[in-house]
Amino acid sequence: MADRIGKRRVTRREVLVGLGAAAAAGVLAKARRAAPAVVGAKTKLIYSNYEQKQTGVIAGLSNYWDLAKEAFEKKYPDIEIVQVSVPSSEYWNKLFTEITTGNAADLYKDRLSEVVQFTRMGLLSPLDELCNVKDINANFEDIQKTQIVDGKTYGVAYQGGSHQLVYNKNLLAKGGFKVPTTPEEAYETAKKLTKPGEQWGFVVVTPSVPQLYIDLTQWVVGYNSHWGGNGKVTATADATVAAMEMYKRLVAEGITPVGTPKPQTREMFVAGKIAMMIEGPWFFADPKITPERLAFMGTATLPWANKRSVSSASAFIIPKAAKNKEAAGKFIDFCCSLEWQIKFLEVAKLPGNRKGAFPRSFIDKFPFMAAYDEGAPKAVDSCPSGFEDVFKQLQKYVIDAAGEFMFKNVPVKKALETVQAQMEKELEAGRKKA
Amino acid sequence: MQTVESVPGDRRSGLFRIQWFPYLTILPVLAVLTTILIYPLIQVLVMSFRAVDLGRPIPGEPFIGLANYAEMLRRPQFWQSLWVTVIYTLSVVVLTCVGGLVVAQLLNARFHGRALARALLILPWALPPVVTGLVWSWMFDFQFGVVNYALRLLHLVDKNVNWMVNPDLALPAVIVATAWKHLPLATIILLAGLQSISGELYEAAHIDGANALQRYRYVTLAGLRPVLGLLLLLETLWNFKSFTYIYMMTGGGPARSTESLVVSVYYEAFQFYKFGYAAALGTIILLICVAITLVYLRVFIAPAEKS
Repeated sequence: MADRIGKRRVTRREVLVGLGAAAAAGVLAKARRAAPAVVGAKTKLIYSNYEQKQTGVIAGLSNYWDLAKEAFEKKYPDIEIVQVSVPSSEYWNKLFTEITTGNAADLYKDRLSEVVQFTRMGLLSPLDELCNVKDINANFEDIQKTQIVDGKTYGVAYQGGSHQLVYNKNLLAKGGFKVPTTPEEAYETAKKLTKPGEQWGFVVVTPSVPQLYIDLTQWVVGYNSHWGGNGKVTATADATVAAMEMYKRLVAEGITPVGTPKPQTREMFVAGKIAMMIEGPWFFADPKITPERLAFMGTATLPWANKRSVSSASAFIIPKAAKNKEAAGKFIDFCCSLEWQIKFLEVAKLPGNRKGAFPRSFIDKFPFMAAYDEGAPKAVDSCPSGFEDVFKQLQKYVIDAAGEFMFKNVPVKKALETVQAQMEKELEAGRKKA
Repeated sequence: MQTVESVPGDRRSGLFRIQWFPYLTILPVLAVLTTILIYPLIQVLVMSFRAVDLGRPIPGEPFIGLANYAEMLRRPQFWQSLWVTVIYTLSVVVLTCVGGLVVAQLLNARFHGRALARALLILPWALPPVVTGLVWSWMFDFQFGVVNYALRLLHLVDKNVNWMVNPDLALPAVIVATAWKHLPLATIILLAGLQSISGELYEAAHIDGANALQRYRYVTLAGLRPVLGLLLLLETLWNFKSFTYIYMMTGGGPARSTESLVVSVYYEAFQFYKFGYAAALGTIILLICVAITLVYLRVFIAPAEKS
């Protein structure tokens, strides 16, 4: 049987039919790809983000995007917004893959430092012709300026915000403590409020996750330093070392719940086992924060003299490969209007980035947001200026160094010298390539 | 290419006289293999000799010879990752094979509920690696993990152990999780091997005066040799290239204590966008895997063929 099949001759007719079928399939596939992205007469605006209900994000954000979509489509009946929902754990890799391969959505949410890096990689469209960047750059908080590269705007930091101190009023009052205003006061208060294994004075992140970099940087900026600036590394600057020494003390002395992931420390705070922690405003959008629980929670600007904190801003970007750039630009303008920036605060419980989008009435209603309003203008980007191309390396090297000084008994200075050397090498390599 | 002899009256041209059918049938497989295996492999190899850095792109991605490889050998991080990979691989292979052998022998004995035990055994293997990584992360959790709870219950520790943030303990934790996941397959392969050893061999050895230890060595282990060899090869290759368990549980931290070569490749390529350097790392991993396979062939296959 096998021999018969093996020796069966393929006729000329069969070969020609096969080739014809393959050609027809190719033509159909090509035609399908080339079809314009319209639904009837509508332009389809593909918006990729991780802030919809199915990705498990807090309800406020997904509600905001649903409302914005509805109102925008009413205003522009010829545009339909299609939200592509990607889980946050996958989002960043997917974003990079899509915009580099040219198979991109029309609009994305991105981190500020990445906007600059993607711009230098030639992956983004300048927004100057697509939306009202003149208005945005003039009326948004200063952090928006990080989105301007060589005079052109590539990102719009529509979401502002900062991290501030969240504390347990009852625990502080019981111990007779005031809200700390310096790192030393915070340390002393936290130490006295710590009961080993039961109650912890101050949460700092200890697992090797990206959040560790943000948390370390909160302390570094609070000590009037950063990991670098203007292309120079300052990992071994006295202030940086002093900040990390303090961080290490909180870990070594058991003032923080060591090894506990951030979400669990939030649960512990809600359960009254934590006295102080650094948090963004999204913490209060958690349904677990009931009015009864909110009653024992207080907020204040971080206990640093300079009141600086790491920004939690995010930006809109339009990739070069986007098909409906004009529609995406219109949506950016829409979300950046004063009305929709205020709605962002009201619905998502997150501050927008437009000045004046934090009305007094909102703070009266939600007093815990006052610290975030006050801290917003002093928020700085977690990426030092001039480090955009090597920001991920910086994050990893800092996280590795923190592991060394927190858990391997390596002196802080020595661990930071490694970061200094590694980053200088990275920057030097960049200069050579340039 | 094969042609058929001309048949009287056959007016077909030379092209149509070739027996195309066998070639046509393997064409889809060849196309798929070329697309998903050979082409990317060649691409990676070529990329490893070029300056491909998407973060700071150089126009034309010039050929830089062995510069990526030289850079890799200069970096202490490479040697650290290689060391982590070797420790991780060896530990998981030993735990899996020894553990698998013990469990296989238990399951080879007759006892009530043997069928159920065999069925339950496969459960860890059926779990997706991502789920395994997550579940073990929770089990090793400092505050609420069941591992710490059990250790305290048994009075083996006084206070909770920081498995995932202590650089000395993170790697053992990941090794345990991986070995747990791989144990069922090893057990099943070895159980199949045990069942293929004829009972007559044991009887013959007994008659020849072999004691239990000798029977185990010269009948059981000798009979398992081909199966064990295959298992060792597969486990070594799988664990050398393992990514999911490590990435899910520790992300390579703390302080690089669990950063294997494959995790390094991920960071270099998808976090730092240094695709040229990552390709060089990937090529080295490939070469090491090929070397392991050759050693396996020499140690396990060649003697079997000779005998």
